Amino acid sequence: MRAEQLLHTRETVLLDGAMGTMLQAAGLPLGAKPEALNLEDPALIESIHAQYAAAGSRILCANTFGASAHKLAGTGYTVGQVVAAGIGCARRAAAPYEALVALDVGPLGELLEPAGTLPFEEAVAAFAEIIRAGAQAGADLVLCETFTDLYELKAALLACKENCGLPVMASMSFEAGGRTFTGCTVESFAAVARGLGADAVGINCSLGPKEIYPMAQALCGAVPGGYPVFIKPNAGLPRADGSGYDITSQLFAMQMKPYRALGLFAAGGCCGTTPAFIRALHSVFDGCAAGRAAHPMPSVLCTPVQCVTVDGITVVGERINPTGKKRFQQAIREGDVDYILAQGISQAESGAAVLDVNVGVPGVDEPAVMERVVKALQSVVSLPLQLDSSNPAALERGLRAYNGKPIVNSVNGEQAVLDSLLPLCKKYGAAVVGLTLDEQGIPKTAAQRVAIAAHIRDEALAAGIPPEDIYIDCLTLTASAQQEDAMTTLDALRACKEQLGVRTVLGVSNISFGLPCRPCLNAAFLTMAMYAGLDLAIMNPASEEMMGAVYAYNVLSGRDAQSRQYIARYAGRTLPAAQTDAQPAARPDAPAGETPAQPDAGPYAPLIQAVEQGLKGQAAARTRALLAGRDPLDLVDGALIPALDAVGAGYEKGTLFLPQLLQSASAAQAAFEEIKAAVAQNGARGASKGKIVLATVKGDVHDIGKNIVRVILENYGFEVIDLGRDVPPERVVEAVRASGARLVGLSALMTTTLKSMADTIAALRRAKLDCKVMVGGAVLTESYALEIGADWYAKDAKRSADIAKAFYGVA
Amino acid sequence: MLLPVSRVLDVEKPGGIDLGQAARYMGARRGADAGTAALLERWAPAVLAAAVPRAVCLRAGVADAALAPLWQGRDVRRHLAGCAEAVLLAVTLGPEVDGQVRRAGVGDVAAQAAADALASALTEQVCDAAESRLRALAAAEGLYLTGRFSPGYGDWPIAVQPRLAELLDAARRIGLCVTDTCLMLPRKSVTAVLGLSAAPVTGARAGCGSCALRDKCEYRKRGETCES
Repeated sequence: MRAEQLLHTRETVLLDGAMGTMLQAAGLPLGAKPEALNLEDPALIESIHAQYAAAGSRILCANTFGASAHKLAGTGYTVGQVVAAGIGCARRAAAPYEALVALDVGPLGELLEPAGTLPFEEAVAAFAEIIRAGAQAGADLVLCETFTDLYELKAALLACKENCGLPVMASMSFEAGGRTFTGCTVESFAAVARGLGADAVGINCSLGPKEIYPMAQALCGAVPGGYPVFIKPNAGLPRADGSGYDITSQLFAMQMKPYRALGLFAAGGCCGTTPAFIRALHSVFDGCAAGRAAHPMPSVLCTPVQCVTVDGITVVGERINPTGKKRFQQAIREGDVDYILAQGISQAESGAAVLDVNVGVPGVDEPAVMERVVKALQSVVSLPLQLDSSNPAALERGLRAYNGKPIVNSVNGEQAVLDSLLPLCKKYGAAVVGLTLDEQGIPKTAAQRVAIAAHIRDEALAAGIPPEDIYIDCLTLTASAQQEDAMTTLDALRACKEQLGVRTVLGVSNISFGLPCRPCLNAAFLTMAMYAGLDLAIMNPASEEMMGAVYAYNVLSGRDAQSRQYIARYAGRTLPAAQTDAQPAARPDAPAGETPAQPDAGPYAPLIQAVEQGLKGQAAARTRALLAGRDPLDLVDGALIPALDAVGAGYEKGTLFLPQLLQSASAAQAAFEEIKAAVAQNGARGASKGKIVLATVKGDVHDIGKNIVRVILENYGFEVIDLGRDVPPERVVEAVRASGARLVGLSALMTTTLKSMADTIAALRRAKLDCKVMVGGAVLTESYALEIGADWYAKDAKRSADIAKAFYGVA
Repeated sequence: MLLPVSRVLDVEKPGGIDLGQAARYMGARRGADAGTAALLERWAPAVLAAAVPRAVCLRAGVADAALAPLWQGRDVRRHLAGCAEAVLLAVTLGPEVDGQVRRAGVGDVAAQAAADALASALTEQVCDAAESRLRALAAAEGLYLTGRFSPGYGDWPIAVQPRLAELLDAARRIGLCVTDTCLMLPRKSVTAVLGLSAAPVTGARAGCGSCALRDKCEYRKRGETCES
């Protein structure tokens, strides 16, 4: 049988059982690397495969599960050697039975960013090495299994698609609660694996057949009826005394019987199962038809932990967009990602279900910024993203970096645009928005817009994008300029929904541009659009009027059963004043600390007091009040620095402790954000007291200390280039060279990462850069700091600021 | 046939976070002031909600060849003196807690430090819960357990982390990975060894004598210890 035929099998095929369990029974010591045996005892490996083949397995998984370079480190073998030998063992055992050989690919054993340190592209490269070796050694197909991180599975699937033409099966391991260790749901797994071109999806390991069954049902519901699904459960759960697993082959077979109803394309076993288990599956799946009846597929957008089914009105937050916002443009130009993240968090808190991400500013490297912002946003918010750009390179970088299933905003009826963007959406498994305009511009009539929509839909389907992933935007024009077009847009929207069977989307707020009291018009237009069949509303979720329209519509259309959500939101509430241009929600102030305000500080006294007492909200409000008629930067010298100096002095004397110092730093941070906004509004560039490059060194992920130092230095008016954590020496060198910074701060928390600190200093010295280095971190000492060539040892954040002030001659 | 496999240990999520301990981790002295207490109370529910505590353990002979690479330095051997068996333990709060700490830190460095301290305090509570569970299991067999001893205590190097994780199959059982620089991820994770004996044992705490932080420890300077 050939692998391609296998995926269209009409009857359930048997996979094999555990390799590790068989090896342990054969005497493999605890903690040994099973993959080394492909070279050291190939006869043993081959004999285990042969037992499975004899038991009825028609897909043998080669002993390559842990064959990543990271896991093989120290064995003396290369990935190529281990994989080739492993495929060879399985191939010899498979031959008499004409069974297929799968290259078995497991997780790399390293955690990917942002939870870990392994960069996504390095993960892709590590999988590519395994997959090329497997294809070269003659594997029939690839089985990616036991994944718990959807991002890592994405890396593996991309590596498959980019490095071999073999069919690929993808399987994840879920806990009893229906999620993986990283919180990934079955629905998110199905949407992403299918989108990235997996030929079959499955569940393996962690639990026994009984526990996995409800998840297997959910998996079957999340893919089309004809899409292959497979299952490899453990032999129950581990026994309490540590002596293996708790169900026998007979019990296993009995618990597998219900799976006949799921039309599996393949079934086998994972940890604790043996050839006896596979033999027992024979009677269970004998003559069992593969495949299920067709069922309607939902439209889904997701991250690993959050799966949004677009079925009726869904709010897409519009605020991550620099158009017409000077502070946002400045943040993008300066790489101030925190500002953008705050916009994302506040929209999520306001009730957005999806976030639109647009980072296009003239003169910036949009592809690089898109990748950076997508990654950063995904490290702090779990909502799906809508990648908004007209730049194909920016979209591709964003699509590649995104963890989950995103939506692309947008293509349009122009053939060149369709030809360049649809293949990207297909490759990365993204849904797509099509705008109803083309080379001739925006058509005047609804019928013409529907015609363009039909063309976009047909092209998307031809590119292999499923119908449920196609969204059409009939374009909101401003009512002040083109009043009659409002109804045209809604007529077109209704027709697209009814005639083309697509989802719909509108950028709602554009309707009111140039007219007063915009929220009124926005809410009315939104209500009309929802009635016409709008699915995705791109809008400001902080607009109380618009959110109210959404909640009210869901009551009146019957979607919010018994008005539950409406009541939960509005019970006991009167409508507050309009809030259309909301700042990120300020966190409530803590009660006042014990520091006395400085006397004789004149108009700045209230701000100084707010910073000294660590009151964030008040610090921001008092800064706004003081900004009227003053040079924003005067506030830094007149208020922030004196306040921080006072707090720092208290800290040194031991009258104040770290928590108070931190709260003052946060209050100053809030004040500084107001100052930056004012500077951006004036179009001036902020005056920098000196540039400082900061980094937590390679191999270290503890960055809170470094973050504290950054904030305090920024509050003193220094321009900090924060390279983040796990930063290799060459990036520090590069950043110092590019920025011309004359001061570098390095942090390392662990004994094992002090060496990276020494390496980084050595690299800076070798590069002969005119810069001084200050270092800090828990296990570091003054003498060690000097020994590795640092210029200063900073025992805490306060000391870092003192060093920087003295070095740059700031009073 | 006895196949030693590491086993997931049920640990319940504590009902709340020990705010006093969190304040201490954050650097407060003589208890938290009102502002710090409010900050910790503000972030405790989010950190607790994000935590998905998991634990895995493995029981094996101290003299088992597979464990030999673990016994580096003097202090861990002293801790296990008189114990024929050892229980290896790994505990994690899961990756979402790290995400919550990052989220708290957007634009607010004090909130980030507070969330981090809360997560550390919660980790300690989960370790205590796992340990008492092990203690109950040992008692049921009439055996005694020492306290927990972790890499980094005394002269036990964190260089043993990769081997510990490998023996526990920690990546597969609870999603805990170790970097090339011996750091654990998710960040809020702990590994430890406990001695198991037929006779009552307490183990030997490492003390400050061989601690890596000995020369600069803030507690020592004040005449306190990190356990007080």
